[in-house]
Amino acid sequence: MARLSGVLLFLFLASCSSDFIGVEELGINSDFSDIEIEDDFEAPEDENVPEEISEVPEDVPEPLPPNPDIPMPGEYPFEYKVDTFFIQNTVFQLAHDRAVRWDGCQKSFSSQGGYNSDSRCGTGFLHPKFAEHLNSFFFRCVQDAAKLAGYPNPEYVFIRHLGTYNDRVARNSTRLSNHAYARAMDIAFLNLYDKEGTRIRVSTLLRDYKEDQAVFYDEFRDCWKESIENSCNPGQTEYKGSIGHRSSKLGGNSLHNDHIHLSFPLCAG
Amino acid sequence: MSMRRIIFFVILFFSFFALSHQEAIGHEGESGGDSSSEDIRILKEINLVQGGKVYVTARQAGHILGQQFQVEVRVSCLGEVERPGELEVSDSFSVCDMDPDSLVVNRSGTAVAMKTKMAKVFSETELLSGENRNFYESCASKTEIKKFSLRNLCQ
Repeated sequence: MARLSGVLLFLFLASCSSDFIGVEELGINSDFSDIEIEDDFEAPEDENVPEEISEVPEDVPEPLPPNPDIPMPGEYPFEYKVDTFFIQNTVFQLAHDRAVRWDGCQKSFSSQGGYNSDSRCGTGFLHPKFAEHLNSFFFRCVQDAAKLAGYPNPEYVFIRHLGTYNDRVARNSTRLSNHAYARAMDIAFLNLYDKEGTRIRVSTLLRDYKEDQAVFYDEFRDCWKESIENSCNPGQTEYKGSIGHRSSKLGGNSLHNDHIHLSFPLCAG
Repeated sequence: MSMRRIIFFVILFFSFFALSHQEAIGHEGESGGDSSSEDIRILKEINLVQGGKVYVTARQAGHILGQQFQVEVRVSCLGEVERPGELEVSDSFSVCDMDPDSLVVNRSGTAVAMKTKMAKVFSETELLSGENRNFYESCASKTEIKKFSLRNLCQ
């Protein structure tokens, strides 16, 4: 009886303890003194300088004068681009599976990107199957979505992401995310560049979900879902291949009000 | 009933209570992500120039990529409400940490700003090391200022 009581007491205390701080401890463990908020700051929509655009990529040509013979977006005869991610040959062993490295800095590849930046490129770990699927379908879905949204056909895209591989576990859970298998990428913004080097910044934020941005958002997710449709069945984890916010066409939840969780789930192969 | 049995049943009760609250809040999950209003902390209440009230709230969302808090804007065009946590979210972003005392509205009442921390970017060596890290050790050292727009609310 005493031993059982001890075990139960241990379980109780273990369940109460956590590596995760609560919302009541916001701000306690960080130092915020390195920056001050300006006295009279502008609203975010009034800020003139686009976020993080400090350099124009080297291979973007000078803007061309308008050519009346070039058809309007939507009528432009384009080919779908594949193999737009530069994937290095080395295979890494992660905590739960293997992965390859995507180098988002390769200018000759149409899908570039970096962590939390619209211009500073970087690398990311991707599961080999996720990398292969990205190379087959990602840019195609960007092109389809751009066409439907009325944007010019993109020549390349700079992905502002919030991470790919991460082996952290969720609070009070032993269930692994697709991020732990490097089968997911959280996308915050997609910077589309057309032939003239003009940028269109597509947002995944809930507050920007309207008009052409909403059209792109939904079509991109739809396209990606169709690319894995035959492999996954409704009810299987992440069978849609992405999670967005609740207001979107494919739905989602409030954890995804500021990014799209794009994945190649286990059910897809 | 002896004292030992009473203590036994009390511990048993609290153990089941605690274990039943271990929600598997994963990052993904089509139906996940919502919290009861009791899990929400109200950081600031703002009276809109155009009428109505905005609540800036925070909740722990178990974000898998190190940004464990959701900072959200909830709007009541009818003014103060009893349970702000039940209002619809009109805008939000995820952060690793934020300074609740830094919330400030600009002079024109069109935006609210705050100091935040994004998740620390680990090197590939660290990522491959396979070590789990406590969230509060994993925020970036650089502070970022994030803003919510208060325009076009309640119009």
